[in-house]
Amino acid sequence: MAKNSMIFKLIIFLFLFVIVVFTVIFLLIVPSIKELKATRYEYKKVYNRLEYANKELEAKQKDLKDIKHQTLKISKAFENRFEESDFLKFSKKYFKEATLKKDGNETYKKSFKEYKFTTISKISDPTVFYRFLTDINRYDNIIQTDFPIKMAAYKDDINTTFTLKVYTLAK
Amino acid sequence: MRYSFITPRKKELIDNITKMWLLFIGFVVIMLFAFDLLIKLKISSLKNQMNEYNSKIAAAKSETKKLQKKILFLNKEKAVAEEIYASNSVLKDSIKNLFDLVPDQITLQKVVMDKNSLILYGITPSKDTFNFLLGSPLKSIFQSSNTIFYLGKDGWYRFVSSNKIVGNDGDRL
Repeated sequence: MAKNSMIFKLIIFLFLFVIVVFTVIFLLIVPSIKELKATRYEYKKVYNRLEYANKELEAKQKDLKDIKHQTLKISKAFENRFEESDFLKFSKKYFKEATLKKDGNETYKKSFKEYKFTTISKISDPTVFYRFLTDINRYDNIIQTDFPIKMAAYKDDINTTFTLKVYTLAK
Repeated sequence: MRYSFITPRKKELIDNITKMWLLFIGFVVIMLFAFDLLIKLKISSLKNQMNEYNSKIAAAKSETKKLQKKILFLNKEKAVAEEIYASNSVLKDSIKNLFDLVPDQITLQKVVMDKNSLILYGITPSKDTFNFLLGSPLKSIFQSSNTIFYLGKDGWYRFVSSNKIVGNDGDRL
């Protein structure tokens, strides 16, 4: 009788054990594992997005570095203040005499400011003017030589009047 | 009055085997709860990391946008500067071409160049010399070309040649 009761107890407890364990697993562990899997999947997606964003940022940083290197002189030339005295010093290399006269106020063209000057100068021959037009592209400011251009012979020289447009950054 | 020869043993409510089973089941359940807690902690840690990554993504994207703006601006600066440099070179070539066009027989006294026009003042030994040597090339370049001559005291002709390009572009020589 006692032995039978022991076996019965064993079966009951085994049954209870299985029920309790399976209930806990199905109600608690399985949903948690499912949530973990979904979270891991989401995490991977976010991680990949981060890697992509970082790569894009690195590529842009490299692009910016390259373009900065390429446009270093140009950027500086746009940032430099236009000093009339410095320009007149530069123009002495080409012209016997030179004067600058500011035409009106500066005009804004999107991100840039444009100053207009009329330059009256005296040159010995036209080749000097060609050299000036070549070397102005290497000047410390961005300067465009523009129309109207007047050249008139006066004694042994040529009186030259032309327009200069100086571009700086509009801050 | 005694009914038994031994003193009765104390009878427990739950016997030892039952206790062991209950303890075992309790232990397993606690272990399962602990495992679940570990999973939940892992999920929470992943979620925290995801939030951190999302903030990093937003920061990287905003920085990338800023850099892109800077790149665009530098490219614009470069384009504007190159256009100006090219314009200076074209202007130089235009003036050089004009002076190369003038033959030795003709002397220029004054040149007025504008976006769409060119006026030349000068001296020529004869009208034909001007028309053949300078007038023809000017006519081939400009859409409208008129020259006025007047005879000087020295027997040479003074001329004023007005040349125009009709249109908005104002192509140079």
